[in-house]
Amino acid sequence: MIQVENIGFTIQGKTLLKDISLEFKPNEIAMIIGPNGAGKSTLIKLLSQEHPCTSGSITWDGVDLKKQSKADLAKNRAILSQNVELAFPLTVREVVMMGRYPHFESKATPKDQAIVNEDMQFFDIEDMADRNYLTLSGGEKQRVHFARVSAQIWPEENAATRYLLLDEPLTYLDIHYQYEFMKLLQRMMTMQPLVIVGVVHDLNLAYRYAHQAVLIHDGKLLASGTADEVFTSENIQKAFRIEPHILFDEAGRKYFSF
Amino acid sequence: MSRKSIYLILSVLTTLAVISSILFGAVEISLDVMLSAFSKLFHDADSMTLTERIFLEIRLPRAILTAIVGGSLAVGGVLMQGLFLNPIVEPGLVGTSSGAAFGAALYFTLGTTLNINAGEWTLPIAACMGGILATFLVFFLAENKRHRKTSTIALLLIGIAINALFLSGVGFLSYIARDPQARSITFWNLGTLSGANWHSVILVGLSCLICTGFGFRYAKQLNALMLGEQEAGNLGVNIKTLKIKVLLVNVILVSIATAFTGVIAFIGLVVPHLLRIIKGSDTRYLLTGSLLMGALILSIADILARLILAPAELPIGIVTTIVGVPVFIYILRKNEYYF
Repeated sequence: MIQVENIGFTIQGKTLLKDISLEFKPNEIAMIIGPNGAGKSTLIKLLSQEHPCTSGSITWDGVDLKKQSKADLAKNRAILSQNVELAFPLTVREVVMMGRYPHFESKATPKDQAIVNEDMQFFDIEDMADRNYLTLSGGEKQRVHFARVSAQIWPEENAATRYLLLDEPLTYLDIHYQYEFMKLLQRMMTMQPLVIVGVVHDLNLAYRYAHQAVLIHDGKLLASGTADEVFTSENIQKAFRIEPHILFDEAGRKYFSF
Repeated sequence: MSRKSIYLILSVLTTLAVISSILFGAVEISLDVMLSAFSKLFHDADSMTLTERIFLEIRLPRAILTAIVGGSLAVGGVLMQGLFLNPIVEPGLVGTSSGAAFGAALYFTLGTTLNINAGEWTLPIAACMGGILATFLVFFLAENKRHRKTSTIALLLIGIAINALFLSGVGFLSYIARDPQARSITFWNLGTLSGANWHSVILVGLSCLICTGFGFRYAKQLNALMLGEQEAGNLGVNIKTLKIKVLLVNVILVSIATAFTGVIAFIGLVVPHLLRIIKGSDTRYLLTGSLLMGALILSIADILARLILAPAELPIGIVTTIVGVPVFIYILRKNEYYF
């Protein structure tokens, strides 16, 4: 469980986040939504410890994040972001193996090899294991990174609770990959207790898959709770300055049109 | 082709090149001479013939030094390119070579006057200090405080400026130097392997062994860095200390090699590039491959340097530059990497 208590972030005199308190539970997908510049990415960066928060505290299973070394943190926490480029040619297998780097000293152990094989099967990318990463399409590349990030927190015996942060990983992906990605995420949660916190731009996608929704506006928490509690016409209009039309599909599920 | 077969082929070729490098020269040395010199070395060293002595004291250390220096420079290239995420970075471009040249020139012209003397170590130490100074200057000035990353363009431009500064320093020193000293500086700037002896072999060999060992220790982190600083940080890599460590290892490696042989350009550029074409960029593969291929290419270059103007000898740095410049331009024009 991740507990966020009264955190704030101020840089060069500018307050980007203020008084945010939240709780993220294992096996629930938490989606952070909000307009551009609201502070969504900042929140992810604080949760990932890329930046330490300037006030308040973040604890993870009761341990203060600031007290953990980067190397230890990397064993249980993975981050998937958008558009990761690779500076030099490597094979897909080599890129996926990077996910195991926090777990071994200088050479991959047979256990790491086995995990990478299993992981590539899970993501259905064994066929391209020996291909040059730089020759892949955008969707394929993101799939490889998803596999890499998943290898980093692959289920292990006696492991601590793992958590996965998503920093707009679906940007630039077509609709097919977006929904496939969400399904893979749901499958990953069945394998081990996993805390998932993500930033997604598509409100319909977020609404459909979020167990918990967090709406941020102007660096402050506007609403949090179940998807239905947060995705109200009033909240969306306040945050995004546009009135949504709420429609219902044949299955009776809500969707938003603008 | 598997990595092991690549290593095997390179090892065989390198051994052949080193043996040919021993065979070629003003005095012909046969395989028989080599064998008899080795057997006499342990039984009766006094009865050695002149040819056997030339083999043991000149040709053999030179061939081995050439191989080690080639390997060191190539490994230096791998480390620098991995650190700056750019295939065109090499010690010559970021100040290491010109700084080392300045340190050496300082020793040649002012060493005796200022009465600075640490025996035969004075030149290597002076060159090493110069190399470290110039490299850190380039790195420090190119660091962009606001974006907390080193932009390649800034790095190259500052590299040009610092190189110009140190090379004009070298020019000034040769201008005020007396004739023999000025000649030493010129020789040194063009690279020369003719000063090889067993002391230099041992020292450069040790530095190569230790620094490459450290390179392997950082291989994992350098791989992770290929995803960019942020992603590497997410994988638990401490970027700041990694940069300093790798830079330090590289500057010691290159400066010590350069200190004994003078400036030999472009090995650090050409070798990793060829290896990447063969089998990708995994840092462990590049390090092992560079040791072998760097040794191979510099040995071949040395043989060429002695054959082209035989019986005179072409400075080795000229040969490597003639080969290296077209490769450098090719990489730039092909633009297959990100700049």
